[in-house]
Amino acid sequence: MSSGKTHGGPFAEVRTLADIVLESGCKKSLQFLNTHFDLCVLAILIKSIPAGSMVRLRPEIVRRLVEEVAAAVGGGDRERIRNALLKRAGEMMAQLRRELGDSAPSEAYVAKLAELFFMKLEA
Amino acid sequence: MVAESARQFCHQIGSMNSEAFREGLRRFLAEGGYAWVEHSGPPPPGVKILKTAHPPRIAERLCEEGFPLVYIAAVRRRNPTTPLEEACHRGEAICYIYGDVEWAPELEHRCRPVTFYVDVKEEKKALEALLLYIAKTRSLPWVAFNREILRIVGLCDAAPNICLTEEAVVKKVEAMRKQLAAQRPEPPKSPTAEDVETSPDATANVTAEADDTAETQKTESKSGAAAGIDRPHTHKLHAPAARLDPAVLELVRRCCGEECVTRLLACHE
Repeated sequence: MSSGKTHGGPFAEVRTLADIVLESGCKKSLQFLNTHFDLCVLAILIKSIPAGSMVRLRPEIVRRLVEEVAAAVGGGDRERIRNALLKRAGEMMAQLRRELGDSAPSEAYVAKLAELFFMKLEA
Repeated sequence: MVAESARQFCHQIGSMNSEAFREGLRRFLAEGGYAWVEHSGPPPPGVKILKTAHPPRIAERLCEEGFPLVYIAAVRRRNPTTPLEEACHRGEAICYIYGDVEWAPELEHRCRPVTFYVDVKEEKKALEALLLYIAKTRSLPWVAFNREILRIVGLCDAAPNICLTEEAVVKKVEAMRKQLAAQRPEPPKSPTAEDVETSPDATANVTAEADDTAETQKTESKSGAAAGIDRPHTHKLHAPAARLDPAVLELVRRCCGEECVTRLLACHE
């Protein structure tokens, strides 16, 4: 499990928690991915914040994480799972943008993702 | 790489250290009826409000650009006659410290720190107001804050998940997996994903959305998805039914005949 603690900053811990959910849940079991699909997508989006001071989602990291999850549990249907994950990630980001508006800082997006992540973890 | 990151970071947290932010903070403190002192100098020792602030090296560029580093010290004095800005250093108060950037001695000659010492009488109420203000103005999730402080203001009771430790999250995810496994057996790793909406543009969607976010969201959404995040999703990834047990097939063959087996297999597919 790669640690989200490689960089500091206020978003380090939520990144670590997203990593835990991805590695211990979403990548371990198709059932888990199926039942907690949105939680897994949120974990991917949060985890895609790169190490360093900048808080911004990186599409190439989203794509890599999606590939990792699909490869881990997808078996022969890996591509379909990958597409479903990417599609849902796109939907979530579009929804967030509608809610937060164009002028919101990228931190606001991550904060909202974190809020949703904890709501889904609670559910 | 670090320099570029730091340069971009300056623009992001520059707002915290701008005159506009300080003016907003003064207004917030005045409206909340707090007594405060604005003092040039680094923050005093105390309990950090954030779990992890940005590392000091990040501030160097910010300081070069002339921004002061702003800190807030919420001071709960044991003796009200001790000056606010001295109580923390003298160990005569409990002090809660907030700053975007972790203060470090190496910043001393490069940066102009400014600390707002805020007099706190009702600890819970004041910290709650301060946390809300910081979370709102700095766009921080609750999980970014020190658990101890979240506990003081009662947020751990209101939303226990935000106070979970890493170990607790590991256990929770394990429990979620075990609960699922107990409900039905783990399917094989070859799902058919019958009702997954696959789109040739799926990859483009997330790339576009993430790009848009990173680039201050200038263009319209390309996904066209109207669905809310909290609505039940339609992306269930169903695995196919497990292969039939050969022993069961043999039993069916014996009791019901070959045709039964053929029909069962056809039906099962």
